[in-house]
Order: sequence, then C-alpha cells, then structure tokens
Amino acid sequence: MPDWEKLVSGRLAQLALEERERQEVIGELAGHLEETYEASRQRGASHDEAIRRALLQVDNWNRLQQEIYMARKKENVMNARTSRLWIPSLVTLTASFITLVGFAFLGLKPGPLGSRPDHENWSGHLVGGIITGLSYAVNEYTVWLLALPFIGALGAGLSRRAGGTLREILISGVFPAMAWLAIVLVVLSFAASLGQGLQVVTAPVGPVGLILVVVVIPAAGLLIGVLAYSAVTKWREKLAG
Amino acid sequence: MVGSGIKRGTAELAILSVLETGELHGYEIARRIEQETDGTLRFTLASLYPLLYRMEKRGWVRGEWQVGENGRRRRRYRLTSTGKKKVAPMRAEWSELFKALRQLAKVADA
Repeated sequence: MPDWEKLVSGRLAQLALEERERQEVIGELAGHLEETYEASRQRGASHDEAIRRALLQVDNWNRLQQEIYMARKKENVMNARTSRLWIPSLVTLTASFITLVGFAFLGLKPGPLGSRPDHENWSGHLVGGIITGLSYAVNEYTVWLLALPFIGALGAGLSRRAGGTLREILISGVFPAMAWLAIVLVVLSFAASLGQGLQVVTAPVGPVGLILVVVVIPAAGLLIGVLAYSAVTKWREKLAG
Repeated sequence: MVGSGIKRGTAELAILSVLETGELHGYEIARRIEQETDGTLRFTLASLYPLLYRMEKRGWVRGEWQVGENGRRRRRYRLTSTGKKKVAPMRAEWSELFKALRQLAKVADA
C-alpha cells in the first residue's frame, strides 16, 4: 500500500494554509485516494493499475492546490486566470525592464566579452543583420541576458505556484519577449509607412537584427529559465514521491 | 455524458441532495452521486474537494472528523440548516431550467 499521505503532502507542498489545516486537507485527500485504490483492488486491478487509477483522480496538482487554497482562504478574491497568468507575466515584464534599466544605469556592460560592433549599416542584409544583432546583444546586454533565465524562472514559479497550466507557466516566463515583439512590430509598421523611416529606426542592425536583439535572444534567455525551473521542480516532486 | 459546464452548475445540488440522506465522507459522496445518476455525474477528487470546501465556507455543509468502524479517520459531511434551506430553491431553479430546455427541444423537433 502506498503512503498516500506522503504522496499528497509532496504534491501539495506549497499549499499555503496553516499547518493544522494543511494536514487536515492532506489527510482527507489521502483517505480518498486510499479508498479509490482499495476499490480498484477489490475489482481485481493489480497494485500498479490501482495506483494508476487513483492518481487519475487529479490531473493537475498545482491547480488543485490553488483551488483548495482559494476555496478555503480567499474564494472569489482573485480571478484564477489573473493569479496564474497575468500577475506572473506582469512581474516578469517589470523585472526584466527594471534590470535592463538598472544594469544600464550601473554601467554593467561586459567589456571583455566583445568589442563594440562597428556601426556599418547592415539594414539591407539578412546574414549581416543577424551577425551584427548578435554582436550588439553580446556587447550591450550580456549582463542583462544572463539575468533573464532567473526572471523567466521567477515568472514560471509564480504561475506554477498559483496552479498555472503548462501553457500559462510558459507564457508567464517568456511574456516580456512577447510584449517586446508586439512593440517592435508596431514600431516597424509605423516606420515602414514613413518611407525611409524603417532604415532609420532599425539601423545599424536592420529589421531582422532588431528582432533578434530585442525579441529572440531575450526569449531564449527567459525560456532557459522556465525550462530549468520546470526540470528542478519535477526532480523535487520525484524525490517527494 | 453531460458536459462539464452543466456538471459544474448541477454539482452543488448533487452534493446537497446526497447529503440530505445522511452524513457521508468525500469518497462516499462521489460514489453515491455516481451510483444514483448511473454514472452520468462523476466527481474526481480534484473536482469534489474544492467544491466541498467552498460549500463548507458558505455554511451549507459542515465536515467533522470521525473514526469509522475500521478505525480510519474520515471527515464526514452533513447538511447545515442553511444548506437544507438551499436544496428546495435550487431544485426548483434546475427543474425550471430543464423544463425550458425540454420545451426548446420539442420546438426544435416539431
């Protein structure tokens, strides 16, 4: 017989209730799983199959954790989508902006990692734009880029803790890049309507380089954080049984 | 099988109805509802407990730990007086809704 209390306790590790109340919830849910398991066994299921059927009772433990918390502590105080998606996304966006401005203010540039790109205008060249864009990102934003995985992990963590789905966790983590993509597309569209405006706005890296610097590279940094966070939490869950 | 939206709406009435017959713990509530609706309404652990806790917070049901004959501690739920008062109006509301839907279905069939 599995230790259902240990299992539920591990899955609801972040259930933010008072300890006594939390233990009551764990005991009650563990009892339900135990009875589901025993009913399957009595119907002739094997030990493994009975465990599998019991675990099918919950498809998303994080969401259950959040719903129990909301039900017991602050029902209707906050829309679930707000806590799972919008708040983590806004925190990620704010954190990325503050670190960008903060590092620039502190003059935290890499220096030895590369020389400042010459400002030859690559606006019209795809490969040149990519190379210049990469070079520009490395020179200007290395410290900030190194911070982005932590920010992505922060967004993913907030969303997951609130019971976010995989999609909500992912979006929360990479939300800043999505916001910048929207801004860049608006700016590029506006600039394109002004004749030579596009060339002026995107110099020296060109439109492709600009999207690379502002969207793709930061998105990759944020995504690394989301994936790392997910891997660590899965590993911790596995340890908890 | 009834869709999840309708299920959510009927879930509270289903729980109140089975608790009218007496005290039950969570697993028994889920099993009784499934039996009495021939499997049309099914509660998993994930769908049942958040709802039970909300109903408890509203004062419709009350859960108390008890030790069963097999020595196991289970939290048994019973209807409160507030919960009992909810049953009849909710039944009337749902009955009205289903009546309206039946009428609509007749119009569609005609």
